[in-house]
This record gives sequence, C-alpha cells and structure tokens, in this order.
Amino acid sequence: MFDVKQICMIYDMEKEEKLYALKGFDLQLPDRGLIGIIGPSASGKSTLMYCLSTLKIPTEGSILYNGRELTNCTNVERDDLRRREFGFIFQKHYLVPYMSAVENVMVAANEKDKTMRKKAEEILTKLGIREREFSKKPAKLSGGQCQRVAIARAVINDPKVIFADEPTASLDHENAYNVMKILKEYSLERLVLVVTHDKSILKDCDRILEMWDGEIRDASSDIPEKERG
Amino acid sequence: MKSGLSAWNFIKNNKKTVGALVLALAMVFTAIYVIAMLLNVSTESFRTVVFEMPKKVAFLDISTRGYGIRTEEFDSGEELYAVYEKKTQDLVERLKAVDGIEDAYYTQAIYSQYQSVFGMIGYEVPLLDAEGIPDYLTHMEAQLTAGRMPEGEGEILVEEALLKNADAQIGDAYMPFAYGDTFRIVGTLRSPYMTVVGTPAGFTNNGWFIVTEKDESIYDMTALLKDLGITISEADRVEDGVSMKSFYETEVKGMVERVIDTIHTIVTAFLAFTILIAYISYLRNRMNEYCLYMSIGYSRSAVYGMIMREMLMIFGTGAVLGLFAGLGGGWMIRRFMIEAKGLNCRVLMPEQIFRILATYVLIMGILQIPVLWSINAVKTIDAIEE
Repeated sequence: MFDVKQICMIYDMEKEEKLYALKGFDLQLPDRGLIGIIGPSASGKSTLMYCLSTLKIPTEGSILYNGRELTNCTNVERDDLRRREFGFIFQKHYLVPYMSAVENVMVAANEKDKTMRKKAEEILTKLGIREREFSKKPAKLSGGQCQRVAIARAVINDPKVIFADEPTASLDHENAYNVMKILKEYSLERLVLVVTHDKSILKDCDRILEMWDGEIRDASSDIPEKERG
Repeated sequence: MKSGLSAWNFIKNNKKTVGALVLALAMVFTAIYVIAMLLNVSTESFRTVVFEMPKKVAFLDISTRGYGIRTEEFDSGEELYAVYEKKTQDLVERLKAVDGIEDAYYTQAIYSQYQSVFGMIGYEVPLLDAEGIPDYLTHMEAQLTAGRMPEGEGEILVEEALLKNADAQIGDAYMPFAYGDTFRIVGTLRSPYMTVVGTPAGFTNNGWFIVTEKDESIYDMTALLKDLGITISEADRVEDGVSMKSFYETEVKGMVERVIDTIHTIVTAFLAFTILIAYISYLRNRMNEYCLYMSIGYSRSAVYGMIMREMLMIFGTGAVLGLFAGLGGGWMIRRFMIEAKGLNCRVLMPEQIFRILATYVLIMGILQIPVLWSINAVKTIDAIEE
C-alpha cells in the first residue's frame, strides 16, 4: 500500500544547524495488518506517520500510496485522501466538546443521512458505548469512552488506512488493552498504523518498526513469535 | 463526497451562548428601530401642518419696509399706522382679485402648538368674528364634532388630534402656558388640515396677519407678492407652503435625520466593538475544533463556510427577531402612546429596516478580520501536538 523511498524531513531549514526528523530511509507497508511504530520522544515516529497521512510533506523523498505519489499532491487532493481513505486517532481524542458522542462520530461522516447515523450508532455500540451514552457530551464520558468515540470517528467512512498516534496515551491499562484489541480487529481488513513509545501495547502487532533519531529498523523479531498476533 | 460542515451543530448545542448573542442583536435592532420610529413621530405628525394646511391657508405679516413705507417721513405713529393700514387693506383687496384666492382679510392671530415626542411645531390660528367662523370652517373642510361654535370673546375650536396632544378638554383654557385664561376651548373639530380657529378676546397684544384663504394652485406666496410689487425681506413673515416646507426640511426632518445618524453611528461602533471582542474569544475557544476538521480532510474554505453560516444564522435570527419585536413594540407604542397624544407615526419603516440590516452587514464585514485571521491560523493536529 505504501512504498516510501528515501524519505527525509528536515525542520529548521532556515537555521544553520538543521534538525533531521527523518533521515532518508525506505519503507514498504502492506494493505492490511497492525503495524506498530515505536521509539522514544523526538525519534521521528509521529513525523513519519504524519508524512504518510499527508498532514506533512517530507522535505525529500517519495511516498507512493497505491502507486500514487503523495508528495506531489495538491492540497485539495490531500484533503480528499484524508477524507475518503484515511482515518485518524490522535493522542488526545479531540472530540468537539459541545457535540454528543454520536455527533462527534457523524462530524467526520461523508454523508450526514440517517443511514450513516445508524452506522455511527452501530460502531459506537460495537466499541462498547451504550445507547444512553450516545447523546452524552465528551465532558460526561470517561477517558476510555472518549477515545473509543474517537476511534468510531476514525472508522465511520471505512477508511483504507487508520493512523493512530499514541492512541492509548491517556488511558489506563485496561482501556489501553481494549483499544488495541479494537484496532487489531480493524487491522484484519485494513492497514492500521499505531505510533507509541509503549512497547507493551504492541504485542499483537503484525509488524513493529523501531525509530531512533530519524532512522528506522524492523524490530518485529524482538517480539517472541508466540506473542505476535 | 462529504457533505459540508454543519453550522446547525454549534447552534443547537450552544443554545445559551447563541441565544444571548441573538438576543443582544435582536435588542439592538429593536432599540434602533423604536428610537427611529419615535424620532419619526415628528416628521409624520407634522406633515399635515407642513404639507396639507398650507394648501388651504397662508398667513402674511408684511412690514413697513415690505410695503415701501419710509418710517422716517412720519412725525407720529398714528399717521404711520394709518398709512400702514391703508397699504394692508389695499393688499388684501389685490389678493382677493387673484385667481385661486377665495378670500383674504386682516385679522388677529394667536399661536398653536403641536408637541411631538421630540420637538414641536407652531402655527398661526386666525381669530375671526363669530359670524365669519362657519365660512372659514367650510373652506378648511372642518366639521364641529363636539361642543359648540364660538359665540363670545376668546372662544376657540380645536382640532381633535391637537386637543389630545394638548391633553385638554372642552372647557379648558387654550394654551394656558402662553395665554393664561384668555382663551377657552368651546368645541372640537375634525379637519384634514389641523384647523384651529377662534374669536378674539378684545384687542390683545397678539400678532396681526393677512389670512389668505386659497386653493392648492398657490403655493409660493413670496412669488405671488413679488408679482404684486412687494418684495419680501427678513422683516416680513410669510407662512406658506414654501416656508413650512423649508422649516420641515431643516428643523424637523433634518434634525431627526441627524439624530438618527448619530444614534446609528454610536450604536454601530459600540456593537461592532463588543461583538468583535466576543467573536475573537468565540473563535479562539474553537481553534482545536477547526484544527480537527482540517486534519480529517475538511478544507479551509469548508471551515470558513461553516463559520460564515453560523454567523449568518445568528445575525439573521437576531435581525428577524429584532424586526418582529420592533414592529410589535412599535405598533404598541403607536396604539397606546403616540395616538393617545394625537400624534401619528409609521410602524413599518422600510428605509430604517434596510439601514439596520446594512449596519449588521457592515458588522459582519468587520468580523471577517478575526474570522480570516483564525482561518489562516488553523493548523492540522500534527502541528498542535508537536
């Protein structure tokens, strides 16, 4: 699905001492599966994810998505991709505070009709949100529930790729486990990229990429075979 | 393709905030509209006196200079007065001969006052012999509606609206603040020309005028007098269609428009400033929301469109509510306050509605500054999380 070649991201281009967030590497990602990207803070893992998801444009290199060069896309084409083919789960849930749970899911929906609303409710139910919580605003939901609503928002349009940046960062162990279980389920039919610095949540990943100082290596072999999903 | 971002979500989920803003806009609309209506009471009420009455009657007070009398040539006042009276009677006769003038006579006159919410207008009231009053009423198309015709000295017939305006009744003194108990109201009239007429209370120190009963064809008495060899100067007084219209345009309509302009400017500046501050805060509070929209694939123009639709819905609702409240309030004020004082006003004032709507459009234009600034400042979530 993704074919990345010599991707390079440089911050502070105007300064004498440039900051290399991505130092030019190749990467291929499949059409489906749960891929974990792990690494310490400022290792470049989030930058990689944002480049893949078109939120950022790399300074150099090429990103082919299903054969299409993302680095040459116009803003409108990038918006369109994010709208139709990508889903996002951010570190914070970024739910709109004045909207109910179901409205927060619907805000990302491609169509705002009754069928889509029914679908949003079904997804929320599947994610463990009870019907009486559909109309609750984020302030009335727990952290775990908010993150599940954010997951529902990410999948409402049946995206081909889900980008999850530290999706369990603000959750307790149990909720973190549940979120990863959900993402694992979604990864059976689509590509799910999870960025984290917490290795323990990646035990079900199909593949783990480790980032360090802007460089990448496949660390899947670090996980014992029996623990892999 | 995704449907646009809905403006309704914010409105329905923030009823208190939106309601307060809508209410504020509606109240401003209503306040400006009602104030404009009250100010326009003068322009509407005075129309009869200014535009209708001069169609039927004109009052002339010609000075010695106007008649070309050289006062220094006379040794005594009696001699001067005799010449002046002769000139006046001569003018009266010449006026009677003019086509369009039904009658003319030299008589005493007192003052009548029509008080509006803001400002007042005064005009002359002829004092005639009791026998001459019916003819005057016929000319002025006035009918006695209550009381009786003047018989003795100092008895006045007052138009119904003017009686209400003065908060007086039959039997009361007429304009006691000016004439004490000298004149008494003995009857009311209904007249399309705001007619007031009465009998003199002996010889009083009031003005004397040539009263010209005429038809609509004679509008400019100054021009007519010039044709008759009398050049009007500042020493003379002519109350005709031209002078009344001039007074109306400068002192009534002009004054009202100046006040309305001032109120509009002050309210617009105040409203624009307060809404600008409120809107900056409102946009800042929603920056994360806008960032989310951009991140999940909505364009800047989609976010801008949503903000503008919200703004239009808020301003539109405020304007509609304000219009209905203004019209309703205006109708009540006219019914219970304006008409009770014998005054008149328009409840529906399209020019004021358009003006207030233009003010709202101007404020929405000013609000484009923080809106566009916010739209340009919106980043995708990756930029926030870094």
